Amino acid sequence: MNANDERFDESLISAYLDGELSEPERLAVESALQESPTLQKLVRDLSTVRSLVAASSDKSATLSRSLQSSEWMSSAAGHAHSSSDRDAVIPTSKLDSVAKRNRMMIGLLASLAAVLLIFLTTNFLIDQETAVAPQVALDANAQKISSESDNAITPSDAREIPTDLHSTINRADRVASSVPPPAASSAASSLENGARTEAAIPPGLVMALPPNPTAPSPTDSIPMSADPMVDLPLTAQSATTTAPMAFQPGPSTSGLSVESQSLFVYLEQRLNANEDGPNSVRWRLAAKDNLETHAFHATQTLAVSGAEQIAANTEEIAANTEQPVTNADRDVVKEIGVERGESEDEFVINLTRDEAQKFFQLADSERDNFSDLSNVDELLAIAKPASLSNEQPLESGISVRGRAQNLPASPPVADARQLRKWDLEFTIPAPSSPLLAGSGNLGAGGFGPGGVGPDGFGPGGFGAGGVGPSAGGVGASGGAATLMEFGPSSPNVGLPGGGNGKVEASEMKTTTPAESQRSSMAKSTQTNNSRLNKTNAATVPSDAANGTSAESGEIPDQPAKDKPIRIRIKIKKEPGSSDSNE
Amino acid sequence: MESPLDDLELIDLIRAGSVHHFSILVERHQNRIFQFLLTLLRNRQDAEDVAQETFIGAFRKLHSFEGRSTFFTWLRRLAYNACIDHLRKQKSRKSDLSTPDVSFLNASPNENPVSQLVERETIEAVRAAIDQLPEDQRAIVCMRDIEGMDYAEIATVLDIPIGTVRSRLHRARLELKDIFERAGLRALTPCQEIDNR
Repeated sequence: MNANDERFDESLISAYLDGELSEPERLAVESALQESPTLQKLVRDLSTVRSLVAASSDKSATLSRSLQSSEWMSSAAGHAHSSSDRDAVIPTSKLDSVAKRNRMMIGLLASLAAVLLIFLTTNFLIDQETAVAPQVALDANAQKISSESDNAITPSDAREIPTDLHSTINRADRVASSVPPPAASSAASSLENGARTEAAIPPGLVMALPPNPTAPSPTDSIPMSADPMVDLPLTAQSATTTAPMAFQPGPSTSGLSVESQSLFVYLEQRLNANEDGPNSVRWRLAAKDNLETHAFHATQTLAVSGAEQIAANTEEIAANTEQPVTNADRDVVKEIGVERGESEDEFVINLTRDEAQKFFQLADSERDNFSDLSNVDELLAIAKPASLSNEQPLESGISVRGRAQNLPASPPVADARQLRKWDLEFTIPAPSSPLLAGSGNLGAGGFGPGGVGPDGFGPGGFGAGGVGPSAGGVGASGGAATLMEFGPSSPNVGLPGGGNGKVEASEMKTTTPAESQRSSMAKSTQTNNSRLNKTNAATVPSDAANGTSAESGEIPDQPAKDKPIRIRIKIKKEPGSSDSNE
Repeated sequence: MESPLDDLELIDLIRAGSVHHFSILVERHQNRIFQFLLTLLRNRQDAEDVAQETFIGAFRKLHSFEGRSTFFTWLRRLAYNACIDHLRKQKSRKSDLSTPDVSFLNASPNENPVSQLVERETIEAVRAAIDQLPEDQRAIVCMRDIEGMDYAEIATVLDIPIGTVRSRLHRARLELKDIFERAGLRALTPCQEIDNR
């Protein structure tokens, strides 16, 4: 059953959004969605309809007063007594006696009240002066009003209007969240954190996705270490992965700062333009909790599904960058999965090797945008053999951990999201093949879109990775990581191109065993070191094979595989740069 | 008045003659029933009246409750039926349903008037769109997307098969989509909102 099949029942789409399909039906719908952009659009449209309807609800409305159940009960009792329904469970005799007793009580009370009223009235007329009477009447009126006001609508009864559309949407979200999401798609569940992610993603988002043809097997997922500086365990070694036959660098981690909330949207946009089609690379940005803290997803507050938000974001970016948005951009259904990190200002993304490969290929293709960075070409050139080469695919995925920093708001900008800078840290596990034993270690390329200024986004550009010279002997698997931390890049107000500054490596440590590859690395390492040294790079190699740390001279407890490599690189603003909004 | 007893236990007591326990059931469910009816009727006074009728009907028909669904689902079904009766009577009186009572949308004083206005207009536009649906579709949309009822519960309340719920809901959403597009409600989607910020 597919979208072109006349037998395809479109009503399944609604049920799909509501999570009301059986497993075979769900699979059929996902299959149809994969083949039909029209159906994908329908999913988004219906999801929007759902959200809008839910947002129009008035869940806070309550009765202004409690319903007078005792009155109904006596009324209903009377009715039950007089009805011909002999099966009534409530004994009519009991109801009858209750009603009779009530009538007697009411009559008695009425008689007493009449007697009391006569008595008081008589006394009043006799004892009180006539002049007091108006005041008494007023008091009585006040009392009457007071008693009546017990049933009046109080301010708290009035329906509260949410402060803005945001809260309306939150209501919609709450309604939506009450709907059990459809079962996990195979692609989504392939993520290690997929189970956590799916619960938070609206049914219209993940479930609308066609299966990713490049989706990794569960073993491809990369478990995240709690400590970003600790290299990740190499559980991502896929049995189906072809081991590279040539030199493969060791693991590396790099990071950089980008002043854009739209990094991932931008990446998606660019990656979707890839010839392989929109589904060739899918970013998993796991939204475990609340994407609101992630600036690039601030529009999640709107009354649309996640997929709609992505499309809207894409258009927003396009509007600001004057890049055309294609239908493919709009229609591509993305599986987004950003996992919140250890704090609100952190997030983690796991990329499969295919995604990572695309990522670095893209970085390579865009490096011309960084011609104004003094040594980015060299850094990229060094990084390329590590991760940019088509012939040398990454053996496993990478993880990206981002931390937000708030930038000073001077001068003020219209959108507070622009005041965030993300420090990204890439972690690439080392290959495990014995053929790669003793591989060298290279820093991966940094990457980021253009700076963001009050007037919009720069189309972006890329920072470059650095390299750490390998040291040490033969290592079987695992490897070190390289962290590159870029300092604040200068914002690029509406100008194409990347950050405007120069790269300065201030600290670098490497611990990857790569004795056997040292000679092959020598040239590039030397080149890189010389460049890094120009900018005060501190290179501290270690020799894991000998069990000796070049830094401390101590014998490490563990092989170097889990030791991170840190490279700190700052991008300094060029003197006189006028494109900063800081 | 709260009671540790669940609905079924209370019903047993009521059936045994302890009729005053019914007021606990009323208190327990009256607001949800009221909201359900307000969703369908859009008029506070009408919703209160029909809620009252619903509970009266529930009291009278309590013997017919067999426990195959939850008491609240059963109650909601009664409420829906009472609502339909009310609408029929109203229609016969030629009441104007096209001007729903939104007087309960009182804004609190410290809110941004612009966002209030935008939201109110949005809500009213959506409600107007819902009002344009045929009665059966409107009810099903409200039950699903506002009340959050699952298909099985909707099927129980409306006494129709689940497949009918599915197809009717889908038709209703498609109809709403068309209405939204015709009304330009699409303009209230993210890009516009971002621009407004």
